[in-house]
Amino acid sequence: MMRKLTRRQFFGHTAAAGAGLAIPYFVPGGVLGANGEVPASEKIVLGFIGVGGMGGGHLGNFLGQDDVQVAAVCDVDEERRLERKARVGEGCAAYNDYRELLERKDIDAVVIATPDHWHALTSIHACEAGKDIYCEKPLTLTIKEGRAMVKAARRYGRIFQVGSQQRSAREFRFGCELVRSGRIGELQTIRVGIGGGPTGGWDPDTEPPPGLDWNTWLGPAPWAPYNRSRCHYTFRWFWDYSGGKMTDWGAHHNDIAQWGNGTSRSGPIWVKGTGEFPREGLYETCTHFEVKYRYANGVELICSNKNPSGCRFEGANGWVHTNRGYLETSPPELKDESLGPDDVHLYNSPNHRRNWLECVKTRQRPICDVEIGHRSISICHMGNIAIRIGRTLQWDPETEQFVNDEAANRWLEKPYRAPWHL
Amino acid sequence: MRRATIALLALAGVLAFGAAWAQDSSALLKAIQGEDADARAAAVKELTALGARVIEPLFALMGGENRAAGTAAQQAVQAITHRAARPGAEAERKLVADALVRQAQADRLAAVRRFALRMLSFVAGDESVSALARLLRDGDVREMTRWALVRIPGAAATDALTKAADSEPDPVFTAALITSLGVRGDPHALPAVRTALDAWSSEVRVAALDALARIPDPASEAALRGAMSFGSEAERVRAGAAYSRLAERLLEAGERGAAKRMYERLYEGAPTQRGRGAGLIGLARVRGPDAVPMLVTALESDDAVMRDAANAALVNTRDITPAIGEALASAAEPELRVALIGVLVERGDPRAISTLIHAAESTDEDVQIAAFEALGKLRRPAAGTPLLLAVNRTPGPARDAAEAALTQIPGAATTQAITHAFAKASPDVRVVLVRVLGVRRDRGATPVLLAAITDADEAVQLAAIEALESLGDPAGVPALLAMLRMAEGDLRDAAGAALEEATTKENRDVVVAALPGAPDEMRVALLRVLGRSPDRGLLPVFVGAARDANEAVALAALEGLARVRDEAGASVLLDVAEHGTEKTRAAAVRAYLQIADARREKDGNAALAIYKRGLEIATGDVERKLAIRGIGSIGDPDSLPLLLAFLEGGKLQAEAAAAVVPIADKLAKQGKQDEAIDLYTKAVELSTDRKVIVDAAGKLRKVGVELDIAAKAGFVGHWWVLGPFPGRKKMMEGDVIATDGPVDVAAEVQTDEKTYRWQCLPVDDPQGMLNLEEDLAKKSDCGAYAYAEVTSEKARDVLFKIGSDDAVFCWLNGELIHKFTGDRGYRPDQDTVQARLAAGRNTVLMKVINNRSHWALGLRITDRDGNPLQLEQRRP
Repeated sequence: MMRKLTRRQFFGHTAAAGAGLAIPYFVPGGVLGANGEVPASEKIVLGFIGVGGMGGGHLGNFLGQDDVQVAAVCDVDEERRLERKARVGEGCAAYNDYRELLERKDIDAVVIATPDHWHALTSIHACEAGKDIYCEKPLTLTIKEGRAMVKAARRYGRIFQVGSQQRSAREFRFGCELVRSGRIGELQTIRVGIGGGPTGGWDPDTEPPPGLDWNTWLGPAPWAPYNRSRCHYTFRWFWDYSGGKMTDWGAHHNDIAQWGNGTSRSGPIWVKGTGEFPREGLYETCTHFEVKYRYANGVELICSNKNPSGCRFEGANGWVHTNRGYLETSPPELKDESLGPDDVHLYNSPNHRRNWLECVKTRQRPICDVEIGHRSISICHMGNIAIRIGRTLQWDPETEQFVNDEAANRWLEKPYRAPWHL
Repeated sequence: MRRATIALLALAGVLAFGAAWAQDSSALLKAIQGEDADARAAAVKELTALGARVIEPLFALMGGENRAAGTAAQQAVQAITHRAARPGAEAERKLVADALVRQAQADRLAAVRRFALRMLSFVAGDESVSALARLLRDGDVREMTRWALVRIPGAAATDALTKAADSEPDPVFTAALITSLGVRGDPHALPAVRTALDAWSSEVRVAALDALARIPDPASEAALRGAMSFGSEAERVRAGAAYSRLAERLLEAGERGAAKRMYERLYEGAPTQRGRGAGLIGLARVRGPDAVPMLVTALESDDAVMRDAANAALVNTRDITPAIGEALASAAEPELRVALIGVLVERGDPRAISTLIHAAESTDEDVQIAAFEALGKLRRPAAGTPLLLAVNRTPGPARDAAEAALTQIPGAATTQAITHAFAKASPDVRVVLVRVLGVRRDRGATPVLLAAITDADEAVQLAAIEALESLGDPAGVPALLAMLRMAEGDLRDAAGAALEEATTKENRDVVVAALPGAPDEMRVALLRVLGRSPDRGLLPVFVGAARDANEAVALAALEGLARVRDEAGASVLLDVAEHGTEKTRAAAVRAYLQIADARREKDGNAALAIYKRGLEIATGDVERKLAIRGIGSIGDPDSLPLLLAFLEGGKLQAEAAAAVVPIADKLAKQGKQDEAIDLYTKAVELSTDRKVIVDAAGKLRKVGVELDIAAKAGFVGHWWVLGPFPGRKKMMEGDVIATDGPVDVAAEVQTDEKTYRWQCLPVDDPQGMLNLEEDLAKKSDCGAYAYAEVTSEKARDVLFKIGSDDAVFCWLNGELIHKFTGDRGYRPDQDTVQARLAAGRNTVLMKVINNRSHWALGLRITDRDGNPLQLEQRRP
């Protein structure tokens, strides 16, 4: 039988391998466990930081992967923590403090699905601990957090996938390939539609529920009394923990806009936004918004809750509108066309989580590398900043600074509550 | 005198303006305390323009009972603050900062003062710092003061934080202050930070280590190096991270030499492999191409951490592609060469092409394959020729890889090179080249492919025709027509398929012209080709052939007419439906009904007439079914008599039951409630379509008619449910409760994490479906138990008809009688299981496991002939 040497075989990928075992260059394909199962020593050992809604979903999915072993879960909500630990079963540890999980030398990689304000710290500490990372979107709370995460990943050579999983869906990839291949002529405008943000009620501040470590939940965010509106899921409507719909869904559709525009590792040069804030209740983030961006290539991106959902690319000769499970084009037959060698072919990943696992093994870059995720969410942050400070801003994608606006640059980083710091 | 008058007038103007302003602001402040949310929002916008003057009254509204007013006041202050911070508004900025400082100092709730400090972080400058420095000693607000000072630029803020750190007795807050100095990155803070390295508190020392890493000064290196060897483990770990961070900051700050020395020390002597790896990556950044030999050596290391680091450095370091190319050229081990080829692909740098072309000449097949794949991924025209040469090699994996790569190389020149190579290639290579041309879809290849369809080698011919299908080039139509005429078997089929792709509205006349006199089989193929792009213009062609003596030709023409869906074809269709063969009659009726489908939206009556006529002339159930469905879709009560006969029984009963629902809707609208109810009831009782049944049952319920059809069908109508239990896999492999006997539904069930109680869930679905997703939990990856008791007056053999979404286990009287362990959507009666009921009470325990999305269960019990049994069931 013909041998086929691959990068995956070249790179011993597990913590066990890293613990001083001499891994041969070439692992014969027949090195599998009994019944064709992946032997334990070849499994990627995962830890989960944040196992609520998204984290719980990831946990269920990764548990179904043959080449994965879940060694630990971490959550500051005891009920969730124990429930998830029980779901994994024997051999799974549970932690309240993610730093204890990161100290585990047997863990190769972590899945981070905390609220947004915790993403940067947990990710950077995971890099420092030598773990590979799958971090949920929105990747960051501020633009400087993103740059710090990219640096940490590069400093320690980590594989870092951002959970903007639309990049691994055919309709988005193919839509962007059509645009990038010039099938709609010169790209002129991108319209991104994401829903408006909600308005909350006046839930009273209370004692945190038993089992919830509220101080750690807040972590680097300014102290605030416990209020159920601030906590699970609805945290995303508070500026100290997230950025509202703009980041929640902008992290998806603005990411696709960047992909289709060929600016995944850059950004716009100009931004202007308007928005409305809740008139009642505790929520803070925008209920309605419209932000316009301009890129150096002349393309205008309009992100608004008034646009049809998804991402619509408008060119000189037609348009491509893509959304989840949806691809429409003008002319209509465009969506049925095939790509040839002269067309742009983008990174093809049929499954976002699997792509990450494969990259952990092969040490190749995942489809939504941390730099890409950082740039995509930076656009959303810029939009929120432009809305909140109420003026037009110039942006330098190279230096990642607003041009000639010291006050706007103060927004690039948010101080952390002591003792936390980036 | 004149001057005095002007001054008085000016004063009067100011006073008048002041009074007007006071009046305006008072009204606006009142508005934001009102009930009207729109008025509040409008007032916030107007207050923004009034600037610093309204800050105090706005703060007075915060923290009170009127929370909406407090929120509006905060929004107004935010807008005022951010407006004042705009470039070029220095005077306004200072006014606002002063006003905010006063609020931060004021006797207000701590939360309100903290809000003032937060706003100051956006707008304050040096002038505010002395006041803020005092607040660093105020326990209620000092953390937020520190927070604000981190953001305020300028030496004054650094100085305030430095002094505070120097005099702060609390080590926790001292550490926070030192951290702040690090975050600011101001070199003036270095003495204070270095002093903190000697603090007695470990927290302060760790904060100082982190802070040193953020302020790029080579002189800090020794302190961090020392800390990596001494101190607590936490300090050593932090010092290690801080050391590589400082090196990075120094490199960014242009201190290349200092950074290089630090990375070398890390690489050679870091206490952990991670640290060594970071040193290696850093060295690569500093040394660039010179670091490549070292990286390659590390890539060959037995240590996975070092291998990963070397790989990351090789992929990410700028301007080292040529050096990697040199390393690849000189590497001996195939494994290493494959790894380096992978690195070059990741880098995506076109400068790697020549190196990869050279690597593709390796004698090692793994290296060849990797190089070919890499050339394909990099998609550079320069790779075309070497890949073309490679496909001339002996068949095998390497040639396959070259072929795949060649399909990805862009440019007309590559296509041209392939077509030139074609003439001299051996037959098996010609097949490969033709395949490549097909995938490339470059119509520049059409002439060569057209020539290839007459190749002496049949495999080449077939590949060429398939490639032409892929190209869909109209220029291929004449040749493909000729091929269709001459060829047989696979070649003819392929030519037909290719012709379909190549024929367009513009060139189809050539195909039409080929029809007369063509052999029957060819006419069938041509009619199918034309049917692919149907329009009215082809009507005469299809009409002319629909009555052809050759049945296959007639069927192809009828298919075309079905696609054209034009009324002008109706008469011939009716004629064929009456006089044709069995097959053509059915096809004609179907085509005829298609005309009605096309007209339905615009002219319902005309469509209805066609459906009715179609029902009359239909000879088979398939066509009758289509006609009944069409009649139903129009919903005309006058057509009801046509359907009633089918409702009586027979194979089309369920279809007719579905068709009467729109008619019932119309009757209900006309106020004929009783007739509508009668029809809805028939739909519920006779339809097999779940959507139809649920829809009709819902409409009946709205008018107060409850049909217990689920009970009539023998469904279990009362379930006690326990769950949801997390973990599909766990639930599949084991049980939380005992399954071998009766269940005590009053008892609690305790697991390690939680206490569960049984809850009774009655089934109100007309098809007996217990909707666990709605009634129990919208949850994936979980399972639940459902328990019921049925009483049989005698022992009897029965059938359990089970439906589930997803997996299901069934125990009857404690014995497992059925399990389904896959995933599926719910339908009634998905599984039929033979069972035996005992006389008296029987226990039924089901375990239903959900993978994701919907989650449901249904069980009905029938006799062995399938007749429903309405057994007595336990109720709450």
